Amino acid sequence: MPETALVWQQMRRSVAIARKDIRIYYSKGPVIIFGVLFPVFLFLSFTIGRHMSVDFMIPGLLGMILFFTATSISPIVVPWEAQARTLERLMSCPVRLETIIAGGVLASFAFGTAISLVPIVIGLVLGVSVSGPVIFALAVILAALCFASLGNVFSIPPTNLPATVNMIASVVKFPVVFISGIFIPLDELPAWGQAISYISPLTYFTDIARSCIQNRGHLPLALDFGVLIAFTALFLLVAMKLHQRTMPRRI
Amino acid sequence: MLMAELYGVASGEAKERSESLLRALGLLERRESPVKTYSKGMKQRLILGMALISDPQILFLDEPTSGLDVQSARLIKDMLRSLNAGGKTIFLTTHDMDEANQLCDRVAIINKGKMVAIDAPERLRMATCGRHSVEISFSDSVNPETLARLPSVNEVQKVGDKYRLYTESPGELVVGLVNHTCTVGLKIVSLNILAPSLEDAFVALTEKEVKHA
Repeated sequence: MPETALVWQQMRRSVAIARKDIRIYYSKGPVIIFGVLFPVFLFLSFTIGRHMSVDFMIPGLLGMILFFTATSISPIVVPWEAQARTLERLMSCPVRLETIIAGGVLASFAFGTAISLVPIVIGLVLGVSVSGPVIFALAVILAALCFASLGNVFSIPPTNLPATVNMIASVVKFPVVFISGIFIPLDELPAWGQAISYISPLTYFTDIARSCIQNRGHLPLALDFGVLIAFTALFLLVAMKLHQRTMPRRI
Repeated sequence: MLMAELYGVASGEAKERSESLLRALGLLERRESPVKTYSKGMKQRLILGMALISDPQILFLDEPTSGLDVQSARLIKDMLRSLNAGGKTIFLTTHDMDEANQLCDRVAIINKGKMVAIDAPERLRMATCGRHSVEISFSDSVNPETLARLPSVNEVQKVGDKYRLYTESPGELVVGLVNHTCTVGLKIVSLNILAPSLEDAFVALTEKEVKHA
């Protein structure tokens, strides 16, 4: 089979895996409600009583919801399936490991993008205006893909206990939220704070969102997009290479 | 349908094939029910259906009837026979000697990861001809040691309320048993001469391996 036909075939199969993941893991009432409510309450607990404008709150809320939802289920799908012994059935099919990972990323990306519509609609209802809606939409899509890829990096350790993977993910996710300009804008951070914030991919999405909603971007948009693309490529590469090593130890 | 997509089966063909497979496996009526509500037998049948959706020429099945209810086990065995008759090659791993005897044209016996014999089940059974046995039950209890002292008895095993006496000359043993029961005043309730089973062949072959080791 020619290389392009093979790639196309594997892409179609990764979409089938994504549909399976969405049906089994994502389209559940509690998952959706938790996906929205958890970041909302976390955000409110830090903003209530601080007299912040809606324009300031929506980019931060959107960033948190997108980050938490796109990384919520993807880390535990692989250990869950390994535990239920459905992973070995999947691996015995004519699909490459990259196809399985891509399917997981796609499902997580779709979930993150869909749930991010909630804060966007809330913002629009509350009178927030978005300058450059195309750039904003592109940023949401790119960030969802970036965070979905990061979610698959969390499931690399060859443990089949979802709780262990969740713990590893939480250790990374919570500090990231605090260093990404969500609660304090980048330009109000001290130099050392800014230096730390640049290691978080969420920083660049929040910066684009603030630029589109508040006209208050700290970095050039091209740089934000460039770094988000670089993080996405890095996470995808790491996920695919390291899962290649750890996946056989799961079955 | 997921398996059909993963194997690249066209959707129209997959729909047709899945319906006929579900019907053959007795699952069509429960097609809309979540799999978690299925019994073990139904899940096993579904797994077989998933394996068959791509219409493979070679099937590898690992204990397909292990722990199943009689009906599910029979349905799967019947399906395997018809698939084999239709030209498919089936590799079956099993600990159930009776299943291997019923389903397989050739049986390979693996002991500690090493293949110790491979042949048709009948030829494997005949290869252990010293394992003929007579299965007998009496009207009253009998001391197995007395039976072991009868001429041409190699080994005595108690099987439920019966005794299985292994021998190389079953005819001679039957005569000996009848004479013995007359002498001690026992009645024979049932008596069967058994050819060596595949299980006997398995035990003999694996024991031989252990002795050689």
